[in-house]
Amino acid sequence: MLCQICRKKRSSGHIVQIAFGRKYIDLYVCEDCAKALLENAGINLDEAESFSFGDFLKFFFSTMELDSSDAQTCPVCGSSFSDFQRKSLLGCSNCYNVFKAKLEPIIINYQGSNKHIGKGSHYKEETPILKENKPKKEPQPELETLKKELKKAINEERYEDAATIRDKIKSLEKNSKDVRNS
Amino acid sequence: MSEIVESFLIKPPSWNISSNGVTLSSRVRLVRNLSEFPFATSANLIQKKSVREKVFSTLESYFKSAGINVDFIEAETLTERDINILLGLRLINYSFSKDLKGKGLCLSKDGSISIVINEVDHIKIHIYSENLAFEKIYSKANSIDDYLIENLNISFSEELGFLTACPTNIGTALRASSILHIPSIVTTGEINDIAKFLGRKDIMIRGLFGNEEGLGDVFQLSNTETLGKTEEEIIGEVYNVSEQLIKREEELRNKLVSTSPEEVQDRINKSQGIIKYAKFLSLHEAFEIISLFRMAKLAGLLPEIELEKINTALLKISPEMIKAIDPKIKTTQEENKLRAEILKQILNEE
Repeated sequence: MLCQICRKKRSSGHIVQIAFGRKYIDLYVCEDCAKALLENAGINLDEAESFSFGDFLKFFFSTMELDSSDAQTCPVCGSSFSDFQRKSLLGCSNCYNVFKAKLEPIIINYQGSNKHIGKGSHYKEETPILKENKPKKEPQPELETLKKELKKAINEERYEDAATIRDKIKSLEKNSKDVRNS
Repeated sequence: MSEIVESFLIKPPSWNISSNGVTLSSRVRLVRNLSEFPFATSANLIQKKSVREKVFSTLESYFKSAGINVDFIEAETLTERDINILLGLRLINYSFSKDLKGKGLCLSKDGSISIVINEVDHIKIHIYSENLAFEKIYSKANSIDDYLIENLNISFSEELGFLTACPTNIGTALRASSILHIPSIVTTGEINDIAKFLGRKDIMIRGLFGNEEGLGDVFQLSNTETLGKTEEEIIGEVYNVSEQLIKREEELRNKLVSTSPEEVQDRINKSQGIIKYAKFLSLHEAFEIISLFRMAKLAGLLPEIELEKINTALLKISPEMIKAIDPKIKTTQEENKLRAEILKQILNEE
């Protein structure tokens, strides 16, 4: 049969599978169209031995608009998202929090889901529910709130309140400095 | 040199050679990480050693109370020969063998349990079986896992499940796989349709003895997805697909043997001649003979050779096992020479 993309050459046994949710469509294509599709995705058909997650990522990123100026790094392990793009591996558990937005479409595309329903989830009630391990280093919300309160107190001319808040801020800042220096 | 690994060369683990059907072996793998350390590929040596120490200590208490005999190995102590034996037995993979610093291995004396520390993730629990006893081996893995969860900070997220270095493994972090010997499915060309059919079922298939000449007849099936399904669903899917392939292989094999028994016997006779007289045998040549013998044996032919001997031959022809048997071997020709000798020893009734 004729290649279903270029409709010029005969299909050479290469199949492109396109999934719409759970439905699949098989397109029979010629070798040239198959190569062209893969080339656009940065995959060399002759060199590729098998389709690895690394290849999946390359293909995925080539079809995605990426914000390459984002230099965000994980505060726990120091990895960046471009480290992930390079290695196909994340640095630590906290990376899943830090890069959540960018990882979500990749996870959904590869796994077909982004919701755990196996061991440890509420879905499986007979197994003990695991403690969610939160990362130890978290920003101090207290400090920010106090600073806002201080501003408000000064604006409203409640100078005694402002003095109390200012002292609280000072002691919090001194404590975190001590932790960093120890 | 590791004693337990050496012992596996003399007496391979039962699951490697006891298979009596299309299934050569099955495996359940659980991946776990400690939340307070970076994943193994981003951790430094000190962190990796801490992980190894903690996990070894926890596993030691578990296996002691479970009454299971295990060995704990710091990977730096493994010799090249040990590595070849472990690779040949599929107790480790190539990623483990590159740069052993900080890595660890916990092996049960019967070889059915292999726990790898710090390869890509902190902990990978593998349990093996010689048939499709998925429920049994999953239950063993699960029991080890429960103990780890109780005694260590295992990284887990309500939304994404167990966290792993690669997002392809998160969620249940469970991979269930079966290794099947399906020569008749390959001969008839049905293997191509099967690859397509499996893609739709979220099962991946990989030829283990493939090369330029062909796909080989031994394939590994495993689930591709680990998130969004329960452990029972994943195991059920791999089990069902394996059963379907086994049935189809048995059907096609019986058809092939019953419609052309003389041709099959002739192929056997020619192969027996090759084994008896060949001085050199490549991996591909040896594999073809063993695959034929195994298919014939399961079809009721070849009464004089035990299936376990054929399974053992299949195990020993890999380059890794050949190099483990004689570490002095350097060239492919030397390898091919020893391979021919080994096959003669195992399969020739002298």
